[in-house]
Order: sequence, then C-alpha cells, then structure tokens
Amino acid sequence: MNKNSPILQVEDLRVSFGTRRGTLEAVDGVNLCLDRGEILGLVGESGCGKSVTAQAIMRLIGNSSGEYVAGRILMDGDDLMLKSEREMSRLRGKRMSMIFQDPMSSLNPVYTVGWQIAEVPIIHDNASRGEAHARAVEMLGMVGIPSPEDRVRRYPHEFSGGMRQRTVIGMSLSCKPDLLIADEPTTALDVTIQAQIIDLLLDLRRNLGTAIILITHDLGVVAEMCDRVAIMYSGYIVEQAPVHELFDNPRHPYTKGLLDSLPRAGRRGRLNAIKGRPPDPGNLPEGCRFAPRCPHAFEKCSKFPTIECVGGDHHVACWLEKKSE
Amino acid sequence: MSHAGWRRKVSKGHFLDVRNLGKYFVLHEGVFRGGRKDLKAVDGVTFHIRRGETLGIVGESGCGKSTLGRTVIRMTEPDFGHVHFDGMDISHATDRELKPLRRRFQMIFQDPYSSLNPRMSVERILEEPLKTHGVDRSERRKRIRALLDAVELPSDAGRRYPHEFSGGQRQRICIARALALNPDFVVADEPVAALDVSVQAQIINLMSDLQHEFNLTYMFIAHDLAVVEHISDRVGVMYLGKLVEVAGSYVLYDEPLHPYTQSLLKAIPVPDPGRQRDRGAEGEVPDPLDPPAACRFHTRCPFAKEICREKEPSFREVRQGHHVACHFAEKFLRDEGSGG
Repeated sequence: MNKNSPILQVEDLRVSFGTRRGTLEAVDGVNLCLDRGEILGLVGESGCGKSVTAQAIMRLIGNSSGEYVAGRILMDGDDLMLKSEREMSRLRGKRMSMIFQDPMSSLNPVYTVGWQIAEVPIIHDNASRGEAHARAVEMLGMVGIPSPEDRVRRYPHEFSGGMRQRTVIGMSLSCKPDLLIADEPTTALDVTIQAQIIDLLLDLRRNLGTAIILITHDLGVVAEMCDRVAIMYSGYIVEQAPVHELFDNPRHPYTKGLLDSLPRAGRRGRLNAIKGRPPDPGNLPEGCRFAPRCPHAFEKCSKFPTIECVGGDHHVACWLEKKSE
Repeated sequence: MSHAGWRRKVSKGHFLDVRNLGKYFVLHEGVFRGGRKDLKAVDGVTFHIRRGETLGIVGESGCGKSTLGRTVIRMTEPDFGHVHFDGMDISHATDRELKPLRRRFQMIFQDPYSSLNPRMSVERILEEPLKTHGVDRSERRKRIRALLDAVELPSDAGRRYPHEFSGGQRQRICIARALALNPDFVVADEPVAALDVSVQAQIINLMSDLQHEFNLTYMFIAHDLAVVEHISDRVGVMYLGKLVEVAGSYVLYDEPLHPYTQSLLKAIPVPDPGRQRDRGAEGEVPDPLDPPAACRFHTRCPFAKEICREKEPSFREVRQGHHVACHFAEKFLRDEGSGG
C-alpha cells in the first residue's frame, strides 16, 4: 500500500433504477478521488444523486433487481465492483463505514448501546467479549460521551439525539476504518449540537487519519469541515475544487446560484434565488441539465458538457469555460 | 361589532401584545398513568409585534417556539396570560367572538406535504376558507385567480391536485390559502425548513414581497438563524419555554447580550471557509420536563455564578428596544461600551 496513493477512486459511476415509468438515471458518470485523511464534501439538493452515489460506493445498492450500477470503485487500488457480497461484508465496518442522518433508525432499540458497538470488533477483529466491551467503553469516551462505563449499559432511547449520533460515530469508527461516508450527519440535530458533532468529526480525522466523504446540502457545514468540495446537480458533478477556491471563485452558474441564494449576515434585501427547479429524473433535458435554469445558457448548452480542469485542482462541467475559444 | 366589551379592554399599545403567556402540557406517567408532570412549553412569555413588521422567533427543538406561535393565535388554548390583537384581548374571547377575528390571523406550516388535503384540488383548498367565512361564488372565483397570481403559480394550477406540485410550489399553495381571507397577521412556523436552498430563497423572497403588497405582520418561527436574521426586523430567542432575549435583528446578531444567544450565534456554520469558528455551548439542552431551577441556562453558561442558580433573572429592557433575561446583561453591555 502506497501512503501517497488515493484511498478511494470512483471512475465513471453510473446508477439507474428500473421503475414502472421507465429507467431513472440517478447517477450519471461521477468521478471522485479521495486522499488519505481528506474530507470531501458532496453537495447538492434533494434528488441530485448524492446519497445514491454514497450507497453505490458502499455497494449497498446494485444487488437487487431493478438496480443497475456501472463504473469502477477503487479502494486502495482494489476494485470493489468485482468483490462478492461476502468480501464486501468483511470490508464494511472494518475498512469503510457509513453513518446516516437519523441516528435513531441506525441503532437497534432492543440492544444496549455497548453491545451494538462491541459487535463490530467481535465480527471483524475476532475480539473476545471482554475486549470488545472494553473497546466499546473506549469508543464512547472518545466520542465525548460522559461516564462511558455507565452509558455502555444503556439503551438508545435513553440517549439524546446528539448522544445517539455520537454513539453511531463511535460504532462506525471502532475498527478505525480508512474511509467514512457521512450522509447528512448533522441535519437532524440542533445548531449547538451540530457544532459539537462537526468538532468531533474534525478531531477524529486528526487523530485517526480517517478520510471522510461528507454528504450535505448545507454549505456552511462544508466551509467548516471540508478540504475539497464536489457540487452535484441532477446526477453528475458540475464543479469540483478545493474548499477555499470553490467559495472564493465559483465557476459553474449553479454553484454561483447556490452561494448567492444563501441568506448571510449583513446582507439584507432580496435573495438571488435560482429560478425554476431541478429537472425530473424521468424526463431529463438534452445537453446540460442546468441549462433550463441557467441565466447564461447559449446554443452550445444543448450538448452535454464534460467536466474539465480549469487550472489547479478546479474542475468544471460548463460550456461557458470554453466560450472564448 | 364594537359593542363587545372585551374588545375595548386595551385600546392603546401594539398591534400584537403578548403578556406573561403560558401553556403547560400535562403528561401522565407510570403504570396507571397516575403520575402527573407539567411540560412547561411556554412559561410566561412577554413581547409585542408592531404592525407591518416581522418578529423572528428562534430556538432549538423543544424550546416551545411552535407552541408559542400556536398559542398566540389560539390554535392552542393558553393556560394563563393575555394576547391583545389590535387592541382586543383574544386570549379570553369565546369561540363565537373569535370567529370573525380568525380571518385576520392565519398560519403557515413547515411541511407542505401534510398540510394540504391530497383529495382536494388547489381550487377547493383555496375556496374552503372563503366559503367558511361566507364569500359569495363569483367573488370566490375572482379571489382564487388573484391568489394564484399573487403567489406566482400558473392560472391552470387551480384544477390540479397537491401531488402534482413540487415542495416549493406546495408551500406557495399553503401561502395562498393563508392569504385567502386577507389576513393582517400570519404566523409562519418553519415555512422554509423542508425546502432546498434554491427554493428556500424563492419562498423567502415571495414572503417579503407579499408582506409589502398586503401590509402583513409576520411572526416567523425557525431554527435557522441566518434565515431569521434575513427576514426579521426584530428577533426573539427562546430557551426551554422562556424568551431570553428580544432585540432588533441587527443588534441581536451584532451585540447579543444573553450568553445563550451568543453561543447559538457561535454555533452556526458560516459559508466562508476562511473564518474560524469559536467553540459554542458545551453540553446539551436539559430535559424540558425537568428544567434547571432559577436561570434555565446556568447549567451550560460559561459565565454562571452563584446568583444564576438561586434567582431567576427578570426579563427587562436593558437598552432601548433590547430585552434580556440575564443577571449580567448590564455588565455585558458596559463591557462592550468600554471596548472590553
């Protein structure tokens, strides 16, 4: 294993679902690259395919009929698409794990929190019950739950929302995975608790070196946590750049629109809303999918734009970049 | 209808004047549900709203902000306190006395999916309040067309059903329904929380346009502080059933005096990667069934002293138009004035 090689590479990922209305293309050619210990933000509005991308990387979709996944998902150079379900379950929880928006539904209400965390090392590391219990206490302490020796014997309903999310994070990190996918981890939480969870994830990244894909719609959370950002729209990535570059110098009209539509301190008056709404995945426009809402659309936008590097590590899928040529 | 005595009780004062309003929910616990506990959702709240302005109410989940909104317009019966609406005490009016007033205050809810009847066409949804309040048929038709126009929906929307619309459009339908009877006061409870950012901006713009057009007064309840700051003239902050601070929107965000407001503001993630956030409040919101005694924030407050555990701070005007419930508000104000 080369320490400098990326931990995850996703190449031309496509996901579609067969429905009664025909085939819906949820993800249409996504390329991602994630370095060790890096936090990548995957940002977009509901229905843009960000969660489907994450689930496809975990190979949580593509196993039942009507779900089609194509492309390459390389973890440490190993193609996950070629792995059997058995091999995948050995990886999940051990080298890659995932946390979800709603911590209550990720926890089993009839088992103690400690047992649920201990299960992970028992399955993956052949830990004895004693060791696993000790590991559960250690993990609860690490995610900042007070008096973990006592808390480990409690049930999820005895925890508050913030503590449940801490528990889920502790569980997902108990085998110290290389990759964590966090799907809207703070959306269901109040602001003060959200701030604590952000700090916790940043601390854990620093201490364990876990690479994180953070899926969110909140650009504020992205600015606080991420090293790099990918903006998704209607199934593909329209822009990808380091976080400072993206906020200082957004190039895609959709990214600009998103940033402009945010209410911010000291800027009153009308918000610059993006007109219209995202296209229906069953009835996608030809060419650039943002064109119908784009204030700068021109003839060329009737063709689908490919994502191109525009300098540094900044990639944009927009014909405007080549208009002058 | 000016003969009704209760209407003249308060003639001067603000458009909406809320005095010491309270709502307790009784919870029964234990095997035989014999145990009794009061959930003090709203516990003695005092504020006012001027005509044509927007008062934002912010707070974390469970702080009582939604109950406050519902109690003010008597969708929930208050347990104590008074609400004076345009000089009339509506908190003690009978249902019969209240009905003609009901058309003057309306509510918009968070979830545009569950607040519209899926079996009614948009036209019937908008027509229902008009019928209830006895508007005649031809007038109703005209009004529905005007409403669809006001919320920027196509005129053929009337014949369609809620499921045919996206979240943002449904929220427009809810807004149109709220405006059907030409109200002057609208309580909006998290109207944009369920919407995507780009759609959220459209609805916020629409709400401020309508406010100017129809001279509406808003009580805007939300947990998103950036949205509230944007739309509100003044903002009130709630914590565990109490209003802890009320001030003009600029002042509150620039110079918050209550430590809870300060920690809330510190906690908001700002879309600017260059900015370093300070760490906000430690710990979590205490159980609302068993809130801390005296100052309810003392368990999480970085400045808590002996007095905060012993005596509840009064909610008082610390400077013009700025009310705070903290023992040390004056001290914070002085420190700020002297540049410390």
